[in-house]
Amino acid sequence: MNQVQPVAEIEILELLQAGDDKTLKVIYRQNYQTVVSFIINNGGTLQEAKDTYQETVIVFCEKLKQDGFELNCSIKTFLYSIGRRLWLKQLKRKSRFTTEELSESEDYLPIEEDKTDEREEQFYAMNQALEQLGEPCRSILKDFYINGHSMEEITQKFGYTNADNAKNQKYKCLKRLKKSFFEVFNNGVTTNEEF
Amino acid sequence: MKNSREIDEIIERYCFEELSPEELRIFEQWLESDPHLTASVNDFLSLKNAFENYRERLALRKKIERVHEEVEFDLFNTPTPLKVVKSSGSTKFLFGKERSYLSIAAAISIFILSAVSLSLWIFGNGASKNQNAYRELRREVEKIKKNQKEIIKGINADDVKGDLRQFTGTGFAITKDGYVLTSYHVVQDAKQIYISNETAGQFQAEVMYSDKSLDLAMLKVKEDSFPGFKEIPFSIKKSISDPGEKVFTLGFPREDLVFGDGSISSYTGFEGDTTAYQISIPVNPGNSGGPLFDNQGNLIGIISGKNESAEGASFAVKSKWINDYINSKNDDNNILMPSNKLLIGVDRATQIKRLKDIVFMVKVYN
Repeated sequence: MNQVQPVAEIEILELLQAGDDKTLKVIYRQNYQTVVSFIINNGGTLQEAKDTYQETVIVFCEKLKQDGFELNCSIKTFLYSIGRRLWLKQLKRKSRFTTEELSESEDYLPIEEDKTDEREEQFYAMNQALEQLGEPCRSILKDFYINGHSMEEITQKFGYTNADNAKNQKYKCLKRLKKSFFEVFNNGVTTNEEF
Repeated sequence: MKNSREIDEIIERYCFEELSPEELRIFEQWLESDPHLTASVNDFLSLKNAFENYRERLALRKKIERVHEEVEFDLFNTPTPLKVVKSSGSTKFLFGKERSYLSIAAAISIFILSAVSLSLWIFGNGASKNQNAYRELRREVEKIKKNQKEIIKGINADDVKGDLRQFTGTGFAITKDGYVLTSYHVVQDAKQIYISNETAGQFQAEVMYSDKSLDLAMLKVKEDSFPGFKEIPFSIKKSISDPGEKVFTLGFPREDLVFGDGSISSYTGFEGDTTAYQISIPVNPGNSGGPLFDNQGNLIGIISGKNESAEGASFAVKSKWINDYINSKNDDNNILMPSNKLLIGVDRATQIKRLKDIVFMVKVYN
């Protein structure tokens, strides 16, 4: 039931690259079972499998958007390969990795490190750094740098008496964020290299 | 000499390309002579890059989560899962041999339950509005529900729970900052609630207040990055409307917003219930919790149910009661009552255009 006609795959990729949500849903659904089953068969819970599958599709979408992206296998194999790699990474992180052979249901491609991995580390580091920050710093920085709110809006929203006070607060917050972001980011990269 | 805050601000403005040509010239000279400054600029650039990446990924993640939910919803609501389960090859992977036949049983009973309940759940609340027609049907649902629970217990509650039951209804925003009204029976026993529509997207919400006897519930969006709703275009009518008055509703009996119109038929609702109107709009499961407006676009009620044994007799809780209810919960004035008149004197199509952004499908998992 999961077999996608090879002829249509190029069109599917084009639709996905154009951001077509309906196609994404179809692809998501078609490959759900394969990836989720792989993870469950290799020591994951249903919840872990679902989370990893979501992550898999995120990576897939990011790879699609990269310049010069080319797919030399079926979408199914590609998704399986990404999911497989993410799950192995996760197992390593948790030191649950055993020498037992993996139970595979599909062929897979070795996925090479690329920009997507750096983006992943970056996202992780930014998330951690923002988490550690606490309020009101987190909301101020998110509002300004991520949601694109103006300093005037932030001054009002957080009840500062004038824009300069708000700016000063934002400056202090950013300093703290910078410190913890680079701490996590640099650490994250080294831990990865160890594997 | 500048202090470190000023230096950081200049670096930031340089990276966002906000310096004036004169400032830029001086800054670039400075950059050439000071390697520390170059390092700081590079640091800020990677931070800026990380912010952008974070924003993009967050948006992508949200999109995927929405897709995930829709797919789970589909898998549960269409007969396909039964087929999947029966052709056990792939599903065995999922649940293991010893559990697979139980999951077939669960899936079948859940499917029956969903089929029955989808046509009936609009009366979910029922208890105080008992009537024979209601009650019998209600009992049937209860029975299947019980069986289903037992079967699930027999499998592995951890693995299966939480994904199985989803109900939908309609809700609508009454404040820009995230308060949404719907029917009590839509969100009854909810573990997770999501509201969504085409223009605003999807948000997770929680029940702030609810009243079973009035069949009303007030939800609040609980998301950090919630941008707020569009302007609420209507006012709540505080007086009673009369039979014969033309009314309309918007709701989600299916995936898309559906318009329905008719008239008020009676001052009282089911079995003389004085808190409700009887109206002549054909409503379907999923319409529950939808707003009812008069010709001028004033909110005059919330769709609550219909009479199974009489054609075209639907019911809506009166706005007077909704108004009193909100006021009773509004001691510290957190809830700004909508009092806009953007729907008066414009045609129906324009009214709907202005309303569709703030009417939501309410998805409930329990």
